[in-house]
Amino acid sequence: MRISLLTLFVLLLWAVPSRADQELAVYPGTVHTRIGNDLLINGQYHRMAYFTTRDPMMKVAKYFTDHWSKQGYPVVADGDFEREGVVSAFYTREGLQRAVVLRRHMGKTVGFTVLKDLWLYEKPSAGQDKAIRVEGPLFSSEVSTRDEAGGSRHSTQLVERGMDEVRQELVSKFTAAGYKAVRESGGKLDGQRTLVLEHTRGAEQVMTTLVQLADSRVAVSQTWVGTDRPDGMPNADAVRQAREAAMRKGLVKEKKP
Amino acid sequence: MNALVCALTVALLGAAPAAEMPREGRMLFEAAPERMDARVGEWVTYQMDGAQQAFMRLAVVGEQKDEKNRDAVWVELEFGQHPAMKAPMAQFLMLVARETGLRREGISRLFLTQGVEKLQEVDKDALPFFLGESEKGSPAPATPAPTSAQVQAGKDSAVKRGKPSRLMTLAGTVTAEPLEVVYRNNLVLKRYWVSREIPLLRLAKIELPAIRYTMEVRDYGVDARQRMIVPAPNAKKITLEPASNFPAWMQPVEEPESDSQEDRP
Repeated sequence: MRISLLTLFVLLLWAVPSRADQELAVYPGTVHTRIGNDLLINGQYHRMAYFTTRDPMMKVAKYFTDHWSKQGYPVVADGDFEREGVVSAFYTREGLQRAVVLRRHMGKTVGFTVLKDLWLYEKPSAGQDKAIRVEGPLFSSEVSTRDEAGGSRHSTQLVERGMDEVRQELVSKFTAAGYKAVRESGGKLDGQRTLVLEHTRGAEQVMTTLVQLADSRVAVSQTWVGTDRPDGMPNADAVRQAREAAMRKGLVKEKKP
Repeated sequence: MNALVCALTVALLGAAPAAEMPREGRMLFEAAPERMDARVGEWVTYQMDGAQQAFMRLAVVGEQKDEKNRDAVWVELEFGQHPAMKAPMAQFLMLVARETGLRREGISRLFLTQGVEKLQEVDKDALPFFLGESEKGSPAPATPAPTSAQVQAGKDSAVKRGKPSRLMTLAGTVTAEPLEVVYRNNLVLKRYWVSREIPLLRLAKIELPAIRYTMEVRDYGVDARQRMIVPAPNAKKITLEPASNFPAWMQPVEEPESDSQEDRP
């Protein structure tokens, strides 16, 4: 797992738009896929989607720069625009930031278009805070979603401690919070030691991935999922709606007996 | 909002004492009529061309009595990088007494913001620090319309009044009267074009020929509506107090003048 400044920026920007009538910026001629429904990153509302295109990153960045500048919004660009880059426009009357985060991946340009509310801040209440955190992180970021299929929260932390020490701290905290350990697996990813811990508590499921970045530096990625079904799966109504939508688009066909 | 940033912004925009006013602010407040007769809905946008291009919009968006029971109007003042003003970089909403015009002594309420921050009201106790104290016996605006063709404005300078003529502006051709501040009878320091056709400031153009700087009307109309979102009455206000109120250890240390300062021209 590689932590780059761009990744951190994406995480910081990652998340539900502030105002229902505010739309995401769109790159013409591409399909945009929404990421989550209601995203709350570090207490700030976000709306996000991604697209891919064979156009060079510079061309995509120029499109957004020109598009926003012509409309009269102040635009800021950062990055080398060969490997990564970010273009942002500031809607000062509405307190919104529209941005596109660009990155090259497998010969294509991947763009994340983001709408961020700069005025609203929602401090998570004690009851909403589901994450089991490690003490004293160097960096910490929270993302949460809420839709008809249930809710999810994702936290990322970077801690300056050894892998085993971090694991022990997390296991103790999960046990104290009433979670039950379901599975634990380890391995190596890109030459880095990894550890995956899975815990459940009623309808809640938590998957924690630890990646050893250095001898005493560990990245902790934690995903919490909660639904209204005890098995942690999306409810039947949500499944039916998703299936019907897929059939309408012709993505799947109903099996005949 | 960072109060210091706001204070600096206000100072930059010209609400600071005259001695500290930058060019745009000085010109704006010098040019403001002595009485605010504009009707609700009047608006005007100026384009400023010099080292950088910028835009300024003024609009009268409401009226009410101020706390001294004077007739007053709500004036929106915005600065931005684009004439559409979709995303102004600085926004000011002021309650200005009609009898004083756009001058510090007439401003009884002030909301402001910079960048993407929410509009915030300046606490009444902090207003004098933002706007600067009114100076007793301060001279009238620097460029009042002289009644005669030329009046002496200083030892070597004078204000000359020209004949009304047709002036081409970005907003169209208007009838305007030139007022020139002339140094030693041959160097034009600045030239104002005053026109009754332009709402609010009655100002069509300002030129500073020596530095190739102009501020020229770009658009105007009578259909302005309030654009700024006023915060709730109980929202936090911007407060300021003089540095003299701080404890002794926080007082600024006055440094003795160095020799090098004496060498300055």
